[in-house]
Amino acid sequence: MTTHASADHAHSADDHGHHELSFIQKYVFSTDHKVIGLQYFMTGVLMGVLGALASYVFRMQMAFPGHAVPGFGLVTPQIYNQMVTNHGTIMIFWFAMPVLIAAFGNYLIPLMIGCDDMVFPRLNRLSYQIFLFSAVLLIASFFVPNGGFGGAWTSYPPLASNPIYNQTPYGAPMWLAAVALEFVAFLLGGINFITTLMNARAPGMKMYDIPMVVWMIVIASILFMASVGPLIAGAAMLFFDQTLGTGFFDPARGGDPLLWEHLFWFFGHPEVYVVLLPAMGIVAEVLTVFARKKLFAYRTVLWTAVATGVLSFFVWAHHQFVAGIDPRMANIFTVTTLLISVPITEMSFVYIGTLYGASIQLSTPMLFAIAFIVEFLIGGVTGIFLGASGADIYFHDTYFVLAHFHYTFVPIAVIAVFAGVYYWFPKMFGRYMNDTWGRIHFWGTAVPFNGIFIPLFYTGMAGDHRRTFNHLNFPDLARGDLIFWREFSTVSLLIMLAFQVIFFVNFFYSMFRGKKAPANPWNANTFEWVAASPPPHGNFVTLPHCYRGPYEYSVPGHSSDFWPQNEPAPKT
Amino acid sequence: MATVINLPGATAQVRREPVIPSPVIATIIVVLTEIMYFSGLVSAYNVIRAQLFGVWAPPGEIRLPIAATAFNTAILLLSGVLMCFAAHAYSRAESKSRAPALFLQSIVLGAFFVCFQGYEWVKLIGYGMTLHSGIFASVFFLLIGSHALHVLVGVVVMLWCYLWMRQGRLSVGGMRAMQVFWLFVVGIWPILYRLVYFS
Repeated sequence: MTTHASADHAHSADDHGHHELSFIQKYVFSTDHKVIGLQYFMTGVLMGVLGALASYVFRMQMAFPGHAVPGFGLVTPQIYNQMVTNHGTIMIFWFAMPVLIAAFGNYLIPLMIGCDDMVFPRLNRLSYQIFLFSAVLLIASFFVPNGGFGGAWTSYPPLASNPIYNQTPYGAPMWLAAVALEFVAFLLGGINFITTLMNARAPGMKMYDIPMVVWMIVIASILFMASVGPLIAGAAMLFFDQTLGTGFFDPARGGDPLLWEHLFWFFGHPEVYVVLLPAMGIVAEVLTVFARKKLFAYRTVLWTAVATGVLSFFVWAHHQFVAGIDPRMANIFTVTTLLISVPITEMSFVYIGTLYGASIQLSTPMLFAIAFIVEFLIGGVTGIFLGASGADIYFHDTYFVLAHFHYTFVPIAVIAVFAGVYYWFPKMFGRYMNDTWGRIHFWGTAVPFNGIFIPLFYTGMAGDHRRTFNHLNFPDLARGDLIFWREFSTVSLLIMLAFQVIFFVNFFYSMFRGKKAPANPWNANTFEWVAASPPPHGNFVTLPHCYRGPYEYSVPGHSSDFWPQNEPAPKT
Repeated sequence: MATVINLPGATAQVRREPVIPSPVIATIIVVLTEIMYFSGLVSAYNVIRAQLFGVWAPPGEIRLPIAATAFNTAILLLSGVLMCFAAHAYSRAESKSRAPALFLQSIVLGAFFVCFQGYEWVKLIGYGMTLHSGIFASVFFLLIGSHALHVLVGVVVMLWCYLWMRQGRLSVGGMRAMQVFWLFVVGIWPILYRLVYFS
């Protein structure tokens, strides 16, 4: 069924049947969900490395303004803006989303619900191809005259809509087109995820038998679909403003610049939960396996995630407290924003409750999973200050905001992804990653991460503005202690980046030379561990049948401390 | 070690009877996204209109052809009704042979709608109403153009489905999916017509 893709190319390559595919057919034009998942993963990680290098460039400028950055050169204000803008864009749209939703979703959903592939495999391949094209388009925007877009990832007009202001007549529309194409790719992917979960589950798998990570990725896809429409409408208007000279966002011609902010953040805030929920799902899988304990309150987690998703559509204007919205509206959005911390807190408590009284194995994935909860809590607690409109007037657009949302996004997109990679690596490649180097990598990631962003809370409260190119131009900000903490933050970043080298060496070395892993190395319950490691085309020798929920660990009276979903209950 | 259960008669393909066919689910998801897209456009329209504090359409703007478009609206609605008949006929064995003719009529009416609108646009542009001539013209072309694009895509995909139907390759689920999309395109038009033309 899925070998259909090779039909067009079969004439040129001299293979004899469906089972011997050439490298190009297998890895470039594949419709296999696992290959597409890995393609998304590799592309996403590559873009993530680019985003990290961009952060290196502008953090060096923040700490040592005016000095040439080693390996890059002197940073001009225009380059600085491009780096900041594309760092944000890449990390959210080309790293967090493809890795958390598309890579893990494509790889895990068919395996975890016990089917052989996605419902629409060719749509899936098209999704990746559009995604790849959008990534190439974004990178290409750096090499056009005047360079890439530098108007921040939120792309506010009139700065973004008018080439006279942003000075990037080609970079800005290319950026916008790349983002829009990326959305199309995720729409196609999301259609697949939702339909596959609805129609292709293994027989016997009921609503509450679905592994949490699958639920979370599908809920995130639904959130994405429901929120992206208005942004595409706004993007169309912005694109016309940029290229055809219309005035949708130009107040002088009857337009409204605030309109863009509403359309953008109507998408932008649910987007936070679009990336958060899959990370929460990954952490749930890792926590239960290494705590050898049932997930505490499965239904609560599920319905809390749904509630979070619904609430996330009513909080967007908290990004605009100082943009000129009606203060009465700010009151309402303060209430909804503070309300949304309730379900998220509930989820955190449920995860901590899962750890209570458990026999915890502190393996590398488990360390990352626990770190996710701890670090994300810091991000959540600092968000309370920003959600209250009174405090936000002072904190708005300072480094406090920046530190806050990095304390949410880095646990999501980096720490939870590492937990997932260390956990599912044996399934993906049939070999273990080195655990000792994994632990070294963990401490080298988690500690410097705090070193980067805790100082930025402080400099933000002291008045450092997010968009400032050189703080030394402002006498109030050219203080010794602030300079020290900016340098401290940058040095922490350098340390954190250096430790990622360990991860990549470990990853690629283990891929070929690591210790061989059996089909179920962690004694986990879910279906993906029933398939061989790595799973062949078609995944299962015999497609499994589901008999129980995914988290039946340490069941009293059962012979072993895990009870896979596909094992029927013994006859009594 | 987990054991693989060998179910008698288990096959890879159909393992549970879906309540809704997969193409229909996929199309419903697309339609929900599209509804949010048009909600964004309608909100934008209302926000921009509110900027002018009640003087909308701005004085001096060209009046839109309400009567001619009312006729065109009726054509599109008729196309939607015929589509329902076609899909209904196609899903029953005894009336399957009647489906292609109904489907083709629906497609022709859809194509007529978009051609008529194209003619209307040519006239409007001839009177000087272009994308740049003012914010009213800009939002008009944005909203109506977005819809026209959907009609155009709908007609092309319907023609494709029609050819498949004649060759016997179109599944009932595929026809139902086409019906869901076309009903969305038809159903959203009266809302846009009321919003943009009667302002």
